[in-house]
Amino acid sequence: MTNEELWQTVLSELELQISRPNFLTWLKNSRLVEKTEGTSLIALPNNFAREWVELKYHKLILGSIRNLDGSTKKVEYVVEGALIKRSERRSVTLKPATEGQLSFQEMKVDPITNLNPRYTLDSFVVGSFNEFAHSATSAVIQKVGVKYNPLFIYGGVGLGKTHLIQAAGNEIKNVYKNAVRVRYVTSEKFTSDVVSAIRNRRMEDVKKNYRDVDVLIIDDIQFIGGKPATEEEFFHTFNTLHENSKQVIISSDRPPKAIPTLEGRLRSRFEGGMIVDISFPDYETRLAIIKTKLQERTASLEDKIIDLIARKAQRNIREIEGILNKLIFHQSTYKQALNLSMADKIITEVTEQSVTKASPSQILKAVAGFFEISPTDLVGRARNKEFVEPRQITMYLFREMLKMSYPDIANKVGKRDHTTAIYAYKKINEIAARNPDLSQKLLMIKETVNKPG
Amino acid sequence: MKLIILRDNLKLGLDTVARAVGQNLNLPILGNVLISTEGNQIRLAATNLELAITKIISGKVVEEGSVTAPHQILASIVTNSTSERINIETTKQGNLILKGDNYESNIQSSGPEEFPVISGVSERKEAVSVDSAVLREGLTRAVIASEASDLRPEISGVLLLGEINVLKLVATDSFRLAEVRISGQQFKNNLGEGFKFTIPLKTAQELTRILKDEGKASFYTEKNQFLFKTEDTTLTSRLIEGSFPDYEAIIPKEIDTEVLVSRNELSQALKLSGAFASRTHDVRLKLKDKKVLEIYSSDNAVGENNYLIPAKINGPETEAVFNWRYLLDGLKGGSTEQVFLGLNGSERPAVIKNPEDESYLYILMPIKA
Repeated sequence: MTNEELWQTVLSELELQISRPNFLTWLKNSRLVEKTEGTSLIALPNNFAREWVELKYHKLILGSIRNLDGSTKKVEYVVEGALIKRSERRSVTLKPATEGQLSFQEMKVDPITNLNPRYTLDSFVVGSFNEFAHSATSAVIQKVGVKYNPLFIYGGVGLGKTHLIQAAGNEIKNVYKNAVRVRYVTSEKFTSDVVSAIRNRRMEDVKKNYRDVDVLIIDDIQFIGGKPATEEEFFHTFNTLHENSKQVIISSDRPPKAIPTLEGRLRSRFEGGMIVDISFPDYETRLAIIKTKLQERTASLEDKIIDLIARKAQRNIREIEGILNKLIFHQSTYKQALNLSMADKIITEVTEQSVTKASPSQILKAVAGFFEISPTDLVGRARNKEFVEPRQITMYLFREMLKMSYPDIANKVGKRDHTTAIYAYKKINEIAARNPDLSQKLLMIKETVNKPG
Repeated sequence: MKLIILRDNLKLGLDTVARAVGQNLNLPILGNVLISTEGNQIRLAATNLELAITKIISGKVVEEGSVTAPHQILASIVTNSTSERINIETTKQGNLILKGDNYESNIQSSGPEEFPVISGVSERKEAVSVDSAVLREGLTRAVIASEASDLRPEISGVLLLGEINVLKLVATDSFRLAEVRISGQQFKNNLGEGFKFTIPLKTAQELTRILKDEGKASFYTEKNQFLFKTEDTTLTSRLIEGSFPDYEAIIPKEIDTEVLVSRNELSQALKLSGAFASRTHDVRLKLKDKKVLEIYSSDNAVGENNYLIPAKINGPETEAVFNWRYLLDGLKGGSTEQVFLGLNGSERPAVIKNPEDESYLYILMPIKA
């Protein structure tokens, strides 16, 4: 006899012995949670019911359970608020007075999984640049915890990592009809949870929160590097989940070996699963992305303008989104279709916006920081391999981002000859076109330069 | 049981427990109030199975005992009674007799056996204690932003977040959010750890009625239950299941344009402009010339209005549309002469707080024009 059947039988016996109102009030929404070592655990909807049942019906319940199942020696009670049926839920509609009133984006997030339902796999545009990541994710969705564990996805800013891993979470939730518990967390939130748990002496909350799941999705893992307590906690969480074949999905802006502050033991664990990257979308994919986004927004733009965006927005998908927002806004405010030159102006505004802020010293600092060498070595005389490439990248970025003249560049980078600068620019430009690794590095450095503050 | 109680005391007691009186077709006894004696104290109790309130009132206990009777009847007798003293007595037949100077009521009552057990709130050390007036003030300011909703049960309440030296009360209806901070001097956490739980909106509102100007209140949680007490009143309530959203993520990290303006003037301006707002209660806030806050509202059927207030403005000029009632609610949360208004364009949340301290924070989303 299953627990459910057993409890149903007990209930129908009790129903005969106590008055109908009492039965409906106290016992209707109850269930037998579990039976272990002679103890039956009964869940009741509220504390009043618990006290009442314990006081008045305990003997009856114990007696009738024992009649059916001789092994039971004890009955205990817990409160489970979810037992109250909320049939009236969902019937309420928003008042018309809230028309146009914006609400907090964060509130749309599912409070249990932390996933934003906006991200779906259907709206994820697959191209050659993310095909691999997409199919690895699909495999994980089909075989949660078994196929690739952990799944580590890395790629530059605004290329759809968050979209992909959140979509994976949403998909898992839908496919398994909530039978698989999913939790999404940014590493920033994880860190702040650990910090506040330490401060408030409630470490068990963090443990419960993150270990009691079937799928843990953690975004931007690179930020936990260099935070020992957080890394430690994450390490144990990771191990607990991994040992129990629970799926872990991780995203980062770079591969594990390129996160310098990450502890070795964590790195080796990340490398033990499947590592996939998302690189940059090519022209055709960018075109497809723009069309999908327009469809999502039920807006339309002329083909010529779409082509222009696809050609000009080369950095990332978030930039495309920004451009589209501006164009659509423009179109709806002025109530007329955009012409090409106006669109061009708006696109240039967005794509060049961030570049204007950079200064040579910022670039120097960013490059030095990225390669973990000192700025003095960067512009110094030494021709070791570890300095040469960063130095060439610096010169390239001076040209590319600041449009500086070659003699000027050469002068800034250790008073060299201007031909050195020309050579460096050409070389990096050429390699970057072929080698996605380098172009990714360049992008990451540019991100740091453009970051405010 | 035999009691003599002053009419005013009995009325106060019945009023205090009134909102916990239940209406349950299955269990009519929930409409009753339990009157019992403990030594020479008289205790009134009521519950609707979500909330339970008990109140100790003073009176003379001639003979101990306990009884339950319909709250509604007791309340109408006491409200309309002109006698200063009321005698209460139970008969052998199980009826309750209330006697005033010129009336005698015989009420059908029932024994305490069928009345739900209300778990006692113990006088224990491991509790949070806080000044009654401070907690009442804080809850009043927080519940402004809350709304009872079956759609989002996890936010239809007030979050109590205890850290080592600050107690935060947070409420939101997903359009706005209020955070009240009660600092370390005004409360004492003896739980030995931080805490985080959400009490239902109704419980919070009830607490603001129970809490007085003076004295201390204390609370703790146990087995999904919130237990609260002041000197003469206790309240127990269920806690809200499901976790409150990560509200810290909503607080804007930076503010584009900072505005300092007189709280009183802004609130007058909003009320006046509100008369011209359309069905969605929208008013447009616009900053001009680094020193003027313009509030514009219009309605096709009524007309339009422009209200100018002098302001100190720091940051780029901007404009945004808000629900004026929501803005006004935010102004009620503080009492300083000036109020700080942080605007972040027309689609990102605005912030209202006191210019000098962090004790109150109100965040509001604009209306999309």
